[in-house]
Amino acid sequence: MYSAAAGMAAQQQRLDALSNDVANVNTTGYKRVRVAFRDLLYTPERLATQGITEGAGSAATIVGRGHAQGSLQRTEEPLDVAIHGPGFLRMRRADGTEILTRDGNLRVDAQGRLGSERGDLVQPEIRLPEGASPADLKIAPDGRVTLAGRELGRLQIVTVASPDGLRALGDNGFEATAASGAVRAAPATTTLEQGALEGSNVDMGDAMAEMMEAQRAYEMASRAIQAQDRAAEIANAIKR
Amino acid sequence: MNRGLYVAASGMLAMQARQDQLSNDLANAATPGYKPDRAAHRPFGALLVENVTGTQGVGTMAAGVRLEAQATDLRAAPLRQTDEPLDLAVDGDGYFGVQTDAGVRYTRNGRFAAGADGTLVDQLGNRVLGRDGNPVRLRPDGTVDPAAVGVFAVDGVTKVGDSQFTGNAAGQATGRVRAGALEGSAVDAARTMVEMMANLRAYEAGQKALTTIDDTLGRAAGLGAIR
Repeated sequence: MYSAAAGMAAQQQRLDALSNDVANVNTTGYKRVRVAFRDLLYTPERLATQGITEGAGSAATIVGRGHAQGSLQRTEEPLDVAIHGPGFLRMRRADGTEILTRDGNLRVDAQGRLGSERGDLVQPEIRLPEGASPADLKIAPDGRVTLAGRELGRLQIVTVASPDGLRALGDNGFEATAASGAVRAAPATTTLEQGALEGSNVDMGDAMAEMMEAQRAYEMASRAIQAQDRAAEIANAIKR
Repeated sequence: MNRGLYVAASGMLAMQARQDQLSNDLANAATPGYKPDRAAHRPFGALLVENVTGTQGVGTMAAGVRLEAQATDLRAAPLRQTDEPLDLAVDGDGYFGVQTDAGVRYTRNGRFAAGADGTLVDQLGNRVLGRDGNPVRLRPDGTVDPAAVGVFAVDGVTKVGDSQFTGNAAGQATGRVRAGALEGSAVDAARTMVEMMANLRAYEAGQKALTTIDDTLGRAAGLGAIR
């Protein structure tokens, strides 16, 4: 009975992750959650028939995020950049924390500094000359930011050995940890595209199909519990 | 007469054990690379029943049943496309090898991730072994070369939990690694549910036999009652 209950708990965890994915189907740069399942310990059957073992059900672990490329949405906004391939933009929060983000929805703040919607600033800082219009900015695939042919700086594209080890700070920001490895430059194959944003990589159809599968598995585990309960009832009825 | 009680009870115990296995299969109906258990019921040794008033044999009678053998059904399940670069599946025969604290273990569950040192790890953080027996290094873009991942032939495969199997390595297997796909669970939900229902009914029948024998014994005992 407990093995079936463990199965239900594992499916519940998966449903929670899927709900989160579906809720973020329109979040720029969102990556779907990867849930992994495994079976649990096998112990010898307690009636000690030789070689018969009983499993303890299943368990779910979140192994990180899916890294499939999200669909690119063309916006034609000069301050929107989408990242092609693995990698993150380097930014600094107002409190000084260095963050990594794939959200390329950039802004120019009151002091002319390039940053995100939430006030995080691009690292190293890129400052527009006074009076310059952000509409004239050109961002090259390798991250070089130019204004009328003059280079202002370069958007750094970085990555880590294990993006799954990054700690999510909310607002699309991630922080490097010991589990993710140190921040290093992204491979040269990763490029930026100006005038586009990377959509969420959640595929609604896939998410729905997975949700149905999770629900069926949940239901079947609950049937197993009912059957075990019925068996216990039958056993109890031996003594009337 | 008493013997019948034990025959029925042994049947019920065997069904209970099978029911536990079926529950475990259903709990793993969505676990990638899971292989279900099959069980065989076998009679205990048959007894020669003799006529109590003479030495004439009247035939044999089974002394009950038990689960005799358990086998894991290792047949491959269909692969499912996931498009995640670190989801790997063995297309054909063979197992992935992972280096655990307890030694090398084998698995068909290819939901892998990237380790902090740039190697391929399983969901518990164990390193996945390459063709040469060393950890698999990821490409700079975070993907993995399917040809570098080892597929091992294993003899005497036994399930140990955590999606892992033990066994004796028997060289390279013929299966090919495919990235972006996972092997499904080999649990056939409909078949398992039907077996569970049949098993439950058989359990119930065992209980009925038990109570019937108990009734009969009660009546026999009642014959000698003094009123």
